[in-house]
Amino acid sequence: MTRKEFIKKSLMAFGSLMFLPRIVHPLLGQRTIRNLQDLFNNKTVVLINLSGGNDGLNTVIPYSNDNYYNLRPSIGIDPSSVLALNNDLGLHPELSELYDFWQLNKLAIIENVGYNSQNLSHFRSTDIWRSGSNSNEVVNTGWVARYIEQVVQDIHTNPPQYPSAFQIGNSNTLQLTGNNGMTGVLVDDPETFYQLVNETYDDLSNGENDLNTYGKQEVEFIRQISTLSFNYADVIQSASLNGQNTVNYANTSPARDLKIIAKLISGGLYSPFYLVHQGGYDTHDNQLYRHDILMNNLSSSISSFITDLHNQGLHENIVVMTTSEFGRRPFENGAFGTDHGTSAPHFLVGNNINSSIIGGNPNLSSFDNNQNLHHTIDYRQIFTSLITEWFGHSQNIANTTFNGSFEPLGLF
Amino acid sequence: MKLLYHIYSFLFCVSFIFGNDYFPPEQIPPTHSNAKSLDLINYFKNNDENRSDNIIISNYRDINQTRNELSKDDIAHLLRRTTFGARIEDIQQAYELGLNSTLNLLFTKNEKPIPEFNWIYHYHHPDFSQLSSAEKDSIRDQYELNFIDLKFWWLDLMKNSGINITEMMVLFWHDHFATSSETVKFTPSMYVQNQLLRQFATGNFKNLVKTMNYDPAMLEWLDNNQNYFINDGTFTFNENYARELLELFTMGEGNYSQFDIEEATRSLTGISSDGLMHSIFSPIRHDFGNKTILDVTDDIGVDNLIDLIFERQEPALFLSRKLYQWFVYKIPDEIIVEQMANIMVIHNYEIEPVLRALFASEHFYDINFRGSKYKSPVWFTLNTKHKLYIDISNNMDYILWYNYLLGQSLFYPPDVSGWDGYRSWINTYTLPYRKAYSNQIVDGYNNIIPEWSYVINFVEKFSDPHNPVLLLNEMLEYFLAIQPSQQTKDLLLEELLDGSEVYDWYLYDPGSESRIKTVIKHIMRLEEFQVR
Repeated sequence: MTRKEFIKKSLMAFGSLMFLPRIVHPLLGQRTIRNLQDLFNNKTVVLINLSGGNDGLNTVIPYSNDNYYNLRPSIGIDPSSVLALNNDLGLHPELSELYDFWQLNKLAIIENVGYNSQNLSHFRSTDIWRSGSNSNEVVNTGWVARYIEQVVQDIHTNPPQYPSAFQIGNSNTLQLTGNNGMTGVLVDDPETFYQLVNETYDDLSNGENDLNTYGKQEVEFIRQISTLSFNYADVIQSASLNGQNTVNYANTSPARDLKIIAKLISGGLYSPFYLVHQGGYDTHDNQLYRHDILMNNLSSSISSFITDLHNQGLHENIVVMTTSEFGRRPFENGAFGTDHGTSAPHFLVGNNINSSIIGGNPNLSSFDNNQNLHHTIDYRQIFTSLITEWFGHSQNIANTTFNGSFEPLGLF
Repeated sequence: MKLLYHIYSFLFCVSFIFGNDYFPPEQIPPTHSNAKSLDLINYFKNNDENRSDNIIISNYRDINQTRNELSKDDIAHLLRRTTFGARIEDIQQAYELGLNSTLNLLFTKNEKPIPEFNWIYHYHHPDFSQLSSAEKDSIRDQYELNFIDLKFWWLDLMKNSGINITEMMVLFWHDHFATSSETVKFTPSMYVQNQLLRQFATGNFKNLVKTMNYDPAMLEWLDNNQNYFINDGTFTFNENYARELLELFTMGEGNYSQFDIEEATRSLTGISSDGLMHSIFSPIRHDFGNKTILDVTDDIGVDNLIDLIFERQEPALFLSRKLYQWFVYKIPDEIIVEQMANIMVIHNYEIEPVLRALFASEHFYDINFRGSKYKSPVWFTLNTKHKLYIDISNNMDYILWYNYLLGQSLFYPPDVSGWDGYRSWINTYTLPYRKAYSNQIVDGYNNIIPEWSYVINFVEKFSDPHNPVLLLNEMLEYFLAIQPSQQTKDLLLEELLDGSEVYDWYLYDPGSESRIKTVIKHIMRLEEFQVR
């Protein structure tokens, strides 16, 4: 007996008293109406993780630097095809939509982003970015979660109406793992989540407050989680049903996920964080062909997303940002590809941003011990800018989040 | 095929983690295995002080106060905590045998199981320096397929173990000496460790630790291969193993100093493995000088180090606490833990007498602990099918996939401290999938899982399937450690009868099979079903 069947049954058995639209949970207490939008200034960031390690030098190309072509005799991008940003740097030719944004002052480029003692393992470096930690420490919670726990202090006992973060996929839960539980939902897609929850949720919480054994306390904990997923499934599904897309998205990654998110936002789902990823960036070989496709997909997806929101008048409070565990090595390898590197540029796209290039040109004449680039900007400076300049929270909150002070970059 | 696709794409992710750059590793990057030894870990774990619920003290706090007579419910509790699945006949058998004979069964030592794959006899890596990258790739792929063999084999042992505690203890030790194929890619060495854990399942803790000092997978996982004395008077020290030996395997955090770690590191110099199935102690790589460890100064060698550690009271307390948490509840009752530790010391670190005392005590059967342990993904996926008399052998890949989805891949613990367990098993992602899993094994799934057709035979095993009220009650007792409310029971009965009266119930009615299935699915979706 699933929820639908149950409602039918319970109406039969107990009359309409049982038909409550929302559950008041004994441990969660009376739900207070509290506005997640207010707590986060009605702002939203969509983080796209380019997993595998995006090749920064072939993304934002130092096309007037001879060293670049010396380091990359076969995979260097032809200067005549580069989309010039200034006299030194230009975008990959497949990033034409992002170039349009640049000309409209809606694109910021943060160059040479990394951290001290860059770890070259995908696994560890991804964890470092997601936990917001130093390279030489292992932190088992995510920076997004620690930030949310400060802003929504009773998040685990009195969850807000909307999920405080919305991640597509279960590939890595670290970012949303907080000190006292998960700070958001992990969803394949709204349809699957809704179906899964509704095919499996039975509204039988009987309000018994009898928690006189450890066993019953644990069952009560599970009931809380069950109630949470049920409540959010409804909210997410109804946003998905009410929302719309106004442009055709390509059937590629990350376009598919951004399409879902645009629809949810259009349908009234507010969340400060949406997290998606685009895989395939580990280009050890045949990079030119593979990277072209990735760049094309990334650029067109972001463009479709922003255009979709713009058409619906929803674009003012939303920015899109890229992350990636590392860049790639300055010199090409023997397989027309590049190996694991260190710093790389990242994009920030949106209306109300400081459209410029921050962090300087990559230095192609001085490398670290592994013949990799030196970074000039710590990745946590970007996240600190998000917290302080975009969401409008104090530097203290950022400091607590990262267990250290990182200077914001003036991105907004 | 879709499932296979998922598994292979998962494998692809694993190979992506291993990456070309680190196979074989040129230098050891910080990983979950060594982060702590570098003193880098920063715990932000759940804080028990934030619990909104209550600490409940048991009325029975003397482990020697034994339970004289076990009800069927008590027996079911014992089997839920000590085995991977007790069917109706198992519970009946144990009930008739009584406590002592059941304990004898649980602790029976079986012959060492040997898998049929040939690769366990492949002792050596090929010489990687002679291979092309394509050849290396194909060898790496082969190791990963071997890990699937190994997982299937172990899961099969678990589900076939019947009334026997061995495999439950192997999993306990795998969680305790958590070693991951993140680093140990050579499958045969992980197989060797798994057999070691089985050999010592309920045996001698101290001897297990002594043997673990020489375990090839452990030596590689915690970097003792990089811990040696070079003859020209210099050392290459690596504290990783010494630290975890003290912190996670024997003493517990806070019961030793950084200096103890450094000195124990010297004691452990010279044991290394080739990263495969063999290890050696080479005297010329060992530091024979005097060391001061836990206030004792002597030329403390590898075995002496363990003797010295076990002179202290901490290892018995530390392991007793972990055993308590594994078999009873997350929040330990320190009085019982101390009593367990005493028994352990009296019996020279044999585990079996400790567990026998625990399982015979009134404390263990306190109603307070019924259903207070979470079903881990491995236990949940195996047990749910086993209880329905479904042979899982044909759909092992499906179980493997769900274990991954729900967060517990065997041979792949998140770090050297093992799985967090407890409430971390349940979140908004895993809970709906758990319920979907139990639905799918009844309804069938996409041609991968056949529909469950054993329905009538199954209910005929209960005492009176022609009495729907009794049948429902017995099924609830069979499936759940904690009984649901009367309101839920009423709804379930109504579901079973589909509007008709109790006296109208006819087991062989054409519609009853599907109604029984609906009710069983419903029982398995209750929150109570997630605990044991």
